[in-house]
Amino acid sequence: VRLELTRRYTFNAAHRLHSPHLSAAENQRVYGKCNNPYGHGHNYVAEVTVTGPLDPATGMIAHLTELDHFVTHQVIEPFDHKNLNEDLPAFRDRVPTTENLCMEIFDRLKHFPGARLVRVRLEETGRNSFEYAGD
Amino acid sequence: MVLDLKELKELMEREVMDRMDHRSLNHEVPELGGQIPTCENVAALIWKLLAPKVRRGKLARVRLWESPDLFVDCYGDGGAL
Repeated sequence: VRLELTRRYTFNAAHRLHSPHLSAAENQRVYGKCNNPYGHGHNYVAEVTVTGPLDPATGMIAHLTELDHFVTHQVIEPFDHKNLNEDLPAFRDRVPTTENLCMEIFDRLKHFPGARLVRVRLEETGRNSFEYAGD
Repeated sequence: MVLDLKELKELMEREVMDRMDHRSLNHEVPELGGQIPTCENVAALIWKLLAPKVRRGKLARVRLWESPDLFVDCYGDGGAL
């Protein structure tokens, strides 16, 4: 059999959806309320899925404390209670849509040494989410 | 229907609930064969118990939630247990 382990993490952050490639009117049309000048917040939920061989000694795919520590260090600490547009260099030139945020989180976690990262699923609200599994 | 839900419910009761519900996984589930009852091992056991018994259609996945922020998915590919 093949096993995948998924852990859910929460953080909250502010963002404003505004593209420098579009005019003010186009930004307003495309992003609507999400284009409001001072931004707005979300309570994000990131589901992180890893896989790998089951260690016969521990019966585990990955050490949860190691995964928690890595995710906290790579994602939660830099993102939680931050303004994604202002505080994250990754979003200087990219609009912090949840699509882009999901890819950024995947890239930050893909070198987790304890197991192979399969995918990141990011909930922006209870009604929408995005998944990224690398290429 | 892909599978009669009543059939699935009875299968789950017989193969999983009767063995595991209100039991000590360490002491009272001999099918674990002395394995540590991690979420991974229990998910794999549930797969092993159910997969051969699903006659209509086939078992696609077992998802075992250990807590609201942790679950394990078990799939049939990837080699023997």
